[in-house]
Amino acid sequence: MTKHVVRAYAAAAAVLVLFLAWAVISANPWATPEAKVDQRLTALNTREAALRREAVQVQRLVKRRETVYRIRLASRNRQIAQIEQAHQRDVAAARAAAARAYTAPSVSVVRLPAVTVTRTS
Amino acid sequence: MERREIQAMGTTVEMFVDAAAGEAVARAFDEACAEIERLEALLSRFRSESELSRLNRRGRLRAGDDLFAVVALALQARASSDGRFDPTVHDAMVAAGYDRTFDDVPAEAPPPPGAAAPGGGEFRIDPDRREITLGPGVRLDLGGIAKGYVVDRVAERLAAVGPCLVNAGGDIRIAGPARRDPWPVGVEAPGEPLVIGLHEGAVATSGRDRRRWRRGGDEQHHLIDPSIGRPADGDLRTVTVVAEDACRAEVLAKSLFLRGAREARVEADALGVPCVLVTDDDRVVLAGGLS
Repeated sequence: MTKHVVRAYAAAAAVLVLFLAWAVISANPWATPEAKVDQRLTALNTREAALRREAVQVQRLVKRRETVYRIRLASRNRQIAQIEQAHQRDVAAARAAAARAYTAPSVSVVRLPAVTVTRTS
Repeated sequence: MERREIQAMGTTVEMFVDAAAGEAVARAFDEACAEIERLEALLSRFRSESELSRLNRRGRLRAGDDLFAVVALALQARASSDGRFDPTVHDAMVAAGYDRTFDDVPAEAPPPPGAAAPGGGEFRIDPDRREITLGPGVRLDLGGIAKGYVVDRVAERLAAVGPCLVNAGGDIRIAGPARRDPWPVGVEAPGEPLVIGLHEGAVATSGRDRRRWRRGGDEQHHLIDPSIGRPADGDLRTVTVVAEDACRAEVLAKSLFLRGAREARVEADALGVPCVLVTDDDRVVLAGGLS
């Protein structure tokens, strides 16, 4: 064999070794399957924890707003009740005044020519 | 006796002053005419820029003295009449076809699309803020009381120059110094002419013998029964009432009209409201101590 042929075989072998090594490294045979699952779980756990924190914050906010709303609603209901009571008092007073204060003017049928006429207005 | 007549509020307004002609009386008549025009411009539902129309559009308004006074009187009248007088029948009036000045209401037309609209709508007044608030969808028609208010205000002005009588289309108010003879006021009634004499007070007539029209063949009139939201049925044609002022007379006349002949007579006698009831079958009944 000539020197050139030996070199060609050596180069081909080196290329083969290189591809084999690349394939082995890419396959990552030393990494356990548990390690891959752990990473995803970790991410999920992190996300869950963040969501729980957010949920607690939202619940606190909703509770605060509900408390404020209930306080305002109670205040408004009290105002409405006061207005309604005042209205009922006014109505009762108006009825009493109407019943008490009516004093019809003196009037009688007369035999005089009318100066004007009342009719449906 | 001095007399002035003008057209206003969709009717003829007559003013009489029992005094000698002179500058003071002429000026009083001029001022009275201006006052009528001013109040009509505020209180008419047919004028889009009236204070009442603005209230009806906005639902809440800080009102001037006159609108506030009339609405307060209307609120009181609704309470004292157990709802038979009710200014919240605006939409019922429109639904019946009375949606423009009466002269422009067609005598016969198809029925309008609006449904019957009972009264009882909410409205409130706040005397401290002079504010009127209407409930959702509520609009006021002060036609049943505003004319009386105008007549009262004008008569009180004219009273400064002598005994006076103001008649706005049948709503009459007498004011001023007492005369020796009563003011003779004719009442439209079948049969012999009926004339009543008053030294003071007011007279008003409500009925369905005028301001009538037809929609879809059915007769309509301007006296809405708030309990049903349609023109009132009943056996009365007209009711004429004597009261201390024209606002009150208007409210009582309508309230008694809605009662019907038998109950109106009972109520008039019980309250001592002098009145003339004319029934559909041409009977004339005097009640409330009138004789």
